[in-house]
Amino acid sequence: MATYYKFLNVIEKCINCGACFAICKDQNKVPHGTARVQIVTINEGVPGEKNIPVSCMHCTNPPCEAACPTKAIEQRTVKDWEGKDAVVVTVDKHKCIGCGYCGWACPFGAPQYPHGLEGDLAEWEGIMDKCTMCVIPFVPKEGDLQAKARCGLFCSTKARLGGDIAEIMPEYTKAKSRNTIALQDRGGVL
Amino acid sequence: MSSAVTSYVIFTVFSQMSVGALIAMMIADFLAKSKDDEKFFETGAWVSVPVAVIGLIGILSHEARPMLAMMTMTKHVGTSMLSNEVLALTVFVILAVIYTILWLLHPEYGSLKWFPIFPAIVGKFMPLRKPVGVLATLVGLAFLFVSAKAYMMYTLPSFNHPTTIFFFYVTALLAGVTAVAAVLSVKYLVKKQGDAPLARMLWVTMGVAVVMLVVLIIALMAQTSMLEVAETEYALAAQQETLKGMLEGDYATFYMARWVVGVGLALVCALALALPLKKKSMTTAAIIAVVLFILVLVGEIMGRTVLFGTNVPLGHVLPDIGGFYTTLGL
Repeated sequence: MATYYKFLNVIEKCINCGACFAICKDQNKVPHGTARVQIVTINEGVPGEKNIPVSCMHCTNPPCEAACPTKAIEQRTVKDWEGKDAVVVTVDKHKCIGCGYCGWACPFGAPQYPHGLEGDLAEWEGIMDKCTMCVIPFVPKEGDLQAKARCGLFCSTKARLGGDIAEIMPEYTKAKSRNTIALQDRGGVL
Repeated sequence: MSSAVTSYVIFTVFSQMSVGALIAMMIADFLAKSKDDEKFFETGAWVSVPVAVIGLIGILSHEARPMLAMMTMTKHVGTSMLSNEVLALTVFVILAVIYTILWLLHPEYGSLKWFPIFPAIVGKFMPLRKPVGVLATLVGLAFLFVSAKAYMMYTLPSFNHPTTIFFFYVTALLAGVTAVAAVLSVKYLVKKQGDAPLARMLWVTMGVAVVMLVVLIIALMAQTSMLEVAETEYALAAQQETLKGMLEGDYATFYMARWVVGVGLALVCALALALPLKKKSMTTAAIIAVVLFILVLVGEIMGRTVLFGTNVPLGHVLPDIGGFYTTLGL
């Protein structure tokens, strides 16, 4: 049975080391100027500073998929590295026209529209790119690729959890319960 | 101002103006009492389709793959509001083209009556002109609604208000009707013929313009009020960013100029049209009609630039959580 693949961020644990950003760039060959995962810092340099890795959250009901006029964005089932069926949100760059409507529909600002691409990459100028749970690299390739959230695997503090929601949720809850002070700090805002 | 904003402005203003221009021609069609009147009004039929083409070029120019966009943008009809919008516009343009052909290829007074064979064929379908025009008008009005709904997403808090619908209908009727009136006025100024049909058209134009400008004033005031309330804190943060950009930021000058040019001066001009029309001074009335159209067009372009330029999608606010906290005073 297919399960939803998601990301959960234990905000209190993120130290903004950039490992998730770097491994994503390396693994998916994401060019300069485009980021499938961005680390957002709140209250930088003051008490209460927090870092949040933001990327496509692979929504259960993706608004970007509903908005896409060409059906380039699709919630589909792929295999993960263990052979399990994983539901992720992917984009078929050959169908994308770069209208930017998904960028308006996404509440997380995940869709990216790369500009200034040169050489072989020029073909993808203005075409939407986003996290596909490492299923499709920046330049799409033929053949089945596996879902594997490498940003989660390479996170040095285990702040970023990615994968089967049934597996990462207990890990997330446990990490959160250990950090009660941080939970109080949040004050229900985040 | 980004190139995307320019594209959205050109697309929305001109595609909506196209609908209004077709409605103006429908009005003219019903106002015409004789063949001479129809001959005078026929020139106005040149407005709708070319204006729609400008709008289409505007929107395609910002796509990464314009050719693919033309072929595939209607693939998600029913689910994607953008697909619905493109489909509605396509159907409207097809009907508008047929309606325009029925004017321009009229065997007796059409501008293109010299064209071989076609006027004789088109002449047989002339009784269909009004029904096609009515159908095109209905599809055009539906397109305006679908177009507004395409922008009214919860992730675009500053658009997600009923005022968006009013803005789009106002642009269509205000710019479209005054555009046709301006073209007919220029024709009158050049040829000095058609006093009676022009007078009738300008009375209607004046009425439509005054009503639409009053609606616009209400919508603009409602917009600033509505941007101060939102369902969620994030939406409020996005709306406050929009309001800030509109009243204090980069677009404040445009916003104020829009009030002065597109609302104030346009309203004065529209009301002033009554004096020469009453005195039957058609040359003065024609000049005022042309000025009114210029004011309206400039005002609508500035207004739309503000609308799109200050738009802050939720996706821009959420990653900018620092900015969000600042907005809330934390």
